[in-house]
Amino acid sequence: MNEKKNNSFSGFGVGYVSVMMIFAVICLTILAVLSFQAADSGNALTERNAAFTAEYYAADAKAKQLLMELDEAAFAGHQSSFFEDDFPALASGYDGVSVTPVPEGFRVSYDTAINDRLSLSSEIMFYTTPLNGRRYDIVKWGSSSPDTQDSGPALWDGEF
Amino acid sequence: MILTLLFFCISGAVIMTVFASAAGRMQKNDLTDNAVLCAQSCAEVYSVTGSVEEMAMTVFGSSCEKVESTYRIGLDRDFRPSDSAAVVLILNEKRSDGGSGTLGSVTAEFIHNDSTLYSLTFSAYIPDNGGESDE
Repeated sequence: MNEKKNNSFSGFGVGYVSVMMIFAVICLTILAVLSFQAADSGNALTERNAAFTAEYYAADAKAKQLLMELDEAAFAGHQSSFFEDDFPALASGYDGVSVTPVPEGFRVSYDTAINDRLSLSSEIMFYTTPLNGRRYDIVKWGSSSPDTQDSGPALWDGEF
Repeated sequence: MILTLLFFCISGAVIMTVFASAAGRMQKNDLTDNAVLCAQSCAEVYSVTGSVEEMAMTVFGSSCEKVESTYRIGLDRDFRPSDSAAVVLILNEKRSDGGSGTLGSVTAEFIHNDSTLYSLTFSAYIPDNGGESDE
């Protein structure tokens, strides 16, 4: 009788501990999977951020290369004293470069693609007569998307 | 009973491995995030100064070790200059002189445990006679 009682107690004990341990293992497995998933999504975000930074500075380098070429054209124009004739002709020769004459000189703008959604917009003011030795000033140098440009949706102006 | 204990030992080992790899990956993510931010700071300062020495002084507050055209800075885990470096920043500068100014290009490479953590190439155009390079 006593032996039977001991057996049944021992059987209950092992089962109870096993259930608790299985429950603990399941909980730990869920936590481990969740933490790995969090680390994985963090890794994806980090990689995307790193890739975008590299793309931005690659576009920035291209834009600066073009700025150097435009400045060389401006420098040559000032040296030859035919700046007003030579510079716009030379600057317009570059792909995607638009030149607008303004009273102080020429406003040059161009876009450099960062990726398929964003571009780096540059706007440079080249002076006909250098201002304190400066041939140009950077008016705008920053990323823009098609959404932030002027082409907004056609809105009703309140008139029929 | 032995089988149960074996099962728990194996599952415990697998769970610990998953936790350890998650922790390692998070640590690497933190280092990469800091490296990206540090590289951006270097790029912005270099685009204004056009000099690696000035850039190092401004960003890290210390000079860098120069070997030929390569500069080397040892950084700790918080990306502060340190002798016992966890991360090594190697800066490689190339300069091309044009008729009106100089175009400098720097490749910043962050090395951790003998492997590249992050690499970024950035540039600066410094005109000869004072064109404004601030952006």
